[in-house]
Amino acid sequence: MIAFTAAALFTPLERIEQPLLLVEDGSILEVTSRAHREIPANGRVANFPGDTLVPGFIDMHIHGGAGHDVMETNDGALPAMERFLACRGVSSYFPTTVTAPVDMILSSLDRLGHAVETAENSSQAAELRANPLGIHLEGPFISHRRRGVHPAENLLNPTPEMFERFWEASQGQIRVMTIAPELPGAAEVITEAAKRGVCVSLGHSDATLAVARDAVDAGARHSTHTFNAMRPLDHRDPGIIAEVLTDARVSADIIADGIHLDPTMVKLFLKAKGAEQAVLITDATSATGMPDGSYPLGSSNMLVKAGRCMADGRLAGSVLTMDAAVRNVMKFAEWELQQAVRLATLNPARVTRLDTRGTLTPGARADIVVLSPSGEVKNTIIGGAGL
Amino acid sequence: MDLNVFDDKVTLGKAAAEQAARAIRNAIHERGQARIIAATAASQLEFLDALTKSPGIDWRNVEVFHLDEYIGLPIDHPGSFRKMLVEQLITKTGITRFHLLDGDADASDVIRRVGKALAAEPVDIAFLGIGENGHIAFNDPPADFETEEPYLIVTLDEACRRQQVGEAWFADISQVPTHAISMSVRQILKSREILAVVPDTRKALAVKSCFEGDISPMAPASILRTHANATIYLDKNSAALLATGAPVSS
Repeated sequence: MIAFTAAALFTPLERIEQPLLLVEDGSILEVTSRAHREIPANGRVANFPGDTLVPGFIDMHIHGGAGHDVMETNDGALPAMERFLACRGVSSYFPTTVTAPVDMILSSLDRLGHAVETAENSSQAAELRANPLGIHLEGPFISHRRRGVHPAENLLNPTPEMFERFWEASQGQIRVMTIAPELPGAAEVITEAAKRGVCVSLGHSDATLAVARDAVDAGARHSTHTFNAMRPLDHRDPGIIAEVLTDARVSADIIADGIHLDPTMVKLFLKAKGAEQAVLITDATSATGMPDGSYPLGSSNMLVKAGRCMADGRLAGSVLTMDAAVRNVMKFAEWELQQAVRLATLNPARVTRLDTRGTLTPGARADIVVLSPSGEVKNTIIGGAGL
Repeated sequence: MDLNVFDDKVTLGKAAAEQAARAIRNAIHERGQARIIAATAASQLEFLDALTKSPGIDWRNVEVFHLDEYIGLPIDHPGSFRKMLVEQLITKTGITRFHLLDGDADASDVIRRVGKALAAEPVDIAFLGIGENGHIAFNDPPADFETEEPYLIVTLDEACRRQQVGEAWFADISQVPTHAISMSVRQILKSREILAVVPDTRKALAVKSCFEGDISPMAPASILRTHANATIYLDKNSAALLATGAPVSS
């Protein structure tokens, strides 16, 4: 047994001062305050005076990091990226594919599906690494008009047959799918994916308000990097963004790096979706954690300079890390750390239907981040390991 | 070569799809996979629709090659042949092994890359149309009957470009690209089986000159008469000018 103590703990719904958190066999046994219970004599004590314990971060949209892309064939790519993520407080992530030739998407899904399965079955890794918990399929079912840097040549209209191929290749490990609801055939695929427990996320879309609402009726429940690669909000033609921001059935994520969205738009977004339905993602690319230069993104390349990833003259993914996203929310919207942490832990866990992650409560997995009062990562514990 | 004539293009499309499906199923049964060449045009719609609904084909074992494509036309343009191929065949069936001709990329690079994949193994069946000027793929008259290159970069003749405006893919002829990538005549003829789907009155003159005139580069589809296993599917309209009065199949 390990007993964790610190200045505070965010479950994240509750705040506990002078907490005592007990971990056994990689799971959380008990969460209480030291005023209620003595530190057990039979265990190890990990004391973080002055710091705060929060759940491990969950990134449901990430393409790469530490010089590696999740679609790389190199066996060392995911482990290298996962070690980097652990340093930034991320304990769980959803490797995210980009639009590429179908055979490349299929082989990536096959590899990533195996990686998810392996992570599920290994109780404790020899080294501290973030765990892949499922795949996010971003593209090819997206709009030509709002494709961003996804290659036009490889975009496809959604059909049940094509979705089935992706599903089979992933061994049923697709947990999130970004789709443009205005594409012919989208409604049928949205319904089918939702039936299989996939979080259907609207994105890379030029949908009107009515089309977006129909998609939510069909089973879509989330929105991918809201505002980016979407039909812009217009007061007489409100479009997909107005639907996403106003529909209580829909959660939504943003890239809070201060580049993809103006800080004031982050604030506006948070006012609309609130602490319950806002989610932080990084949309991070292989360039994250690396110096400026040229880096792979799926089947193509991009150039990174001063925090901006550019391809074809367009803004590509980010070099954001989740800990920085949490701090940015505090800065841009004047939110408290506890509220900001929720957007990177409990909310993405709910969206992706993870019962035992994103929360520091009994029965949950012992994925813990130790944060300084300003939100700097001081330690990451994954499955009880990492001290 | 067989000529079959049907009452209308829907019956024609269904009959052609039955033969095509049989060929695909046999190839998968005998060799574990079927390699096919697909054409995209207004004339192929009914046929492709019927083919995608054919039972008993495991499309995971089908590899499809692209017959022809304009150079310089993006894939989201309504006239893009790869857009049609993706929408009318690939996504409907969930084919995962397909080779599109990227008309937006460097054409010589594309024909080298796709040509290599195409020539690697024999093709089981090729689906074709025939143009109003008698072309197969974009081999307008005079067609090159000699070259062994799998794909060619060709200049489109005016009749060919006007046909595309007539089919309403483009607003006027100035918008139709002047160059295209085309599978070569010899490459098409290397297929084990060829199935040409040719409905509509506007094709009647081309049908007459290709199947009753001389075998000549000036009537490109006439070369199909030299293939041992080619079947031409006509409807009453496209067969209207044939003097020999090909028997109407029921």
